[in-house]
Amino acid sequence: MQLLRDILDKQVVDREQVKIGKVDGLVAELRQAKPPRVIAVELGSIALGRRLGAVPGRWAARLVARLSGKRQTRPHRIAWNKVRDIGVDIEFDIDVRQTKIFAWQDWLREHVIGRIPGA
Amino acid sequence: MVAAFIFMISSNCNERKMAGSAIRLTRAFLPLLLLALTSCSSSETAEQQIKLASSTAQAAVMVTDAWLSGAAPPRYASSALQSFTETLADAGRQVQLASPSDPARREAVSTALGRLSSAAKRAQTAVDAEQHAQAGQAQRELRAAQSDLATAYRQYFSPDR
Amino acid sequence: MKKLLEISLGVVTSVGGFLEVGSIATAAQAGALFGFQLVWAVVLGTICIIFLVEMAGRFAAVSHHTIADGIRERFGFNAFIWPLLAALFVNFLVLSAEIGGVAIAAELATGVGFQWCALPVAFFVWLLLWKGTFGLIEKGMSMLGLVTLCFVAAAVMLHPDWKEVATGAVPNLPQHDTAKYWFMAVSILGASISPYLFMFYSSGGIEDQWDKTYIGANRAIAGLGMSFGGGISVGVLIVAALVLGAHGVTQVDDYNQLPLMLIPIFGFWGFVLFVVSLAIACFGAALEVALQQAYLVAQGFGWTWGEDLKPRDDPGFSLVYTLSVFLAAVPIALGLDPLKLTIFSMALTAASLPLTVVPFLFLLNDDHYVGEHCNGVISNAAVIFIIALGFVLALVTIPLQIFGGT
Repeated sequence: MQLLRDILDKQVVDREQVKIGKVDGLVAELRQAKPPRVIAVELGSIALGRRLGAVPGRWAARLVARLSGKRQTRPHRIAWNKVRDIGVDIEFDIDVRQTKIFAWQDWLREHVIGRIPGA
Repeated sequence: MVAAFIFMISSNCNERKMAGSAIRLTRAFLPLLLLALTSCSSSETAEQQIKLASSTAQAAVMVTDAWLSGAAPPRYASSALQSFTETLADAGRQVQLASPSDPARREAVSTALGRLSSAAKRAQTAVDAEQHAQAGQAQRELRAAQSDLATAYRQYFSPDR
Repeated sequence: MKKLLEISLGVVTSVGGFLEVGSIATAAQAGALFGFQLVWAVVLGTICIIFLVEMAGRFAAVSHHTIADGIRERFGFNAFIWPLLAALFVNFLVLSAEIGGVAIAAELATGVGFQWCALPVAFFVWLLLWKGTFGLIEKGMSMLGLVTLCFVAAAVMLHPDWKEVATGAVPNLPQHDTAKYWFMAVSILGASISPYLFMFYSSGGIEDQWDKTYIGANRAIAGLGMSFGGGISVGVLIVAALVLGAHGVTQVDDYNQLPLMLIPIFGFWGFVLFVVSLAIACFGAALEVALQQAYLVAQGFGWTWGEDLKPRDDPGFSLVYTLSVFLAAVPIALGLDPLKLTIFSMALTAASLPLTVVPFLFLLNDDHYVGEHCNGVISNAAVIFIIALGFVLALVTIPLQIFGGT
């Protein structure tokens, strides 16, 4: 399996098959005298921004920090040992509702979309 | 003990440059374009305007026809004729500005365009007032002015200029 | 038997969904000024879109990926962002043009200026997306779109010289207005080979849960549906040539001239048919383009998407189409001439083709995605041809926009 070809940019779903996002970044651990090991995947705009370059990465981080009202922000991470299945999508054994990945969608639902009749 | 640290793997390596070349080529073309744009000659503009006016006048004839035979609703006929009137009047102005050539010939073209524009205007008024006879008359006027324009156009671009 | 029904439904859908403001306007302008001379551009564009749509459908059926998913996964985000931005921008212009098309139809019908109609039109488009399901939008609107067949009926009733039409189907050089000729050829190609069409088609394959058993049906739908659709465009061109061109109306720069195409043939009903055709064709296309914007973003970033879900279950997706529709209505509401915008955006579509079509060459030859259902020699040749065509179009579009454009 090639990490970059087969994992990066794949669709991520949780155990209920809810589409969470794409694999926007990979986190690997370098070990002495052994090949590096993937320990987590990253999702979200900060990870995406970093892929475009250091500057867009900082912008994305600043924007996310401003929007979420926190001082420091980091990309969402899902530990690699939660992987359940790799097919068309990568399934992780998590429940997205218990993570903060969908915080913005929840906000959107509550404050914008949900207020429009018929939603 | 494993000295571990974490790093991000950037994805640059498996990406192909497919976008860049198209954009760069287009950009290289731009100065050329601007140069070409500024070198547009004025007689070409005049010719374009006359062609546009002739086509618009024919459209005005068709709309009036359609209204006379009850095939076009009056509201549509009226607003179409109004729009055509404006196009014709505008063509007249453009020709006045455009051509540095023989003023007499230019005058003939302008006059014909003016006649067309006012005939289209009259057709619109007739449609608004539901005057069939006057609409028919305006239509005949459109046709007559149209042949004037054709003559003026031939003279305007005649080789002995 | 069930498959046959699905194929016919699919064909009907593509026929009804083929015509939109771009194909109507470009075919009308070309027919009025050049007679049957530019039939070849419609034919060529239709052949290209058949290949692309077939591939998009096959890709979705075999790999269970949409084209947008595939591009992102195969080439990575840093490459994906270019086709993404190009498609979003071109789609924005096309969506604006389609809303303008409906607004013109509304103006012709009611006499209220098109700029006042733009926002209400956008509202109705949005409402249908908000409340409707994918089936309703794809199948329902396309069924209504069959009214555009009136152009084919009109073309046949005019008894064109079919030999001359066939001659026009072979590429030929213009005798006059050279710059305009090529500009119109480019716009016709752009109107026929719309990225939103094949991207939408692949999303539709996923929404309809296609699998490998649909490969045959997909081929039939793409081939027949797009051919018949192209036939309607040729119909518009023939009618424009024999009605407008023959009456000396050669410069179709004013949308008020368009209803004149059908009035001499059908009388008052011709006016009604034209207005209804324009309204339905553009409304259907506006729905599809707006949805495609949402698909593109949601698929590109991996959000939950699906027109059959309730808006509250895919808030990101719903937000994208909501914003797209209302933003696209703004230029029209500000009074930008829909006809000019249409022609401009069609030419720009043609120029953007390399960005969206190059990925096909890789995706449809990748074992990983399509396995044994890879492209054959002919399909690959077609893709390479379209890419080459796209590059040439990208190069010539802008100069022609200045010399040949309105």
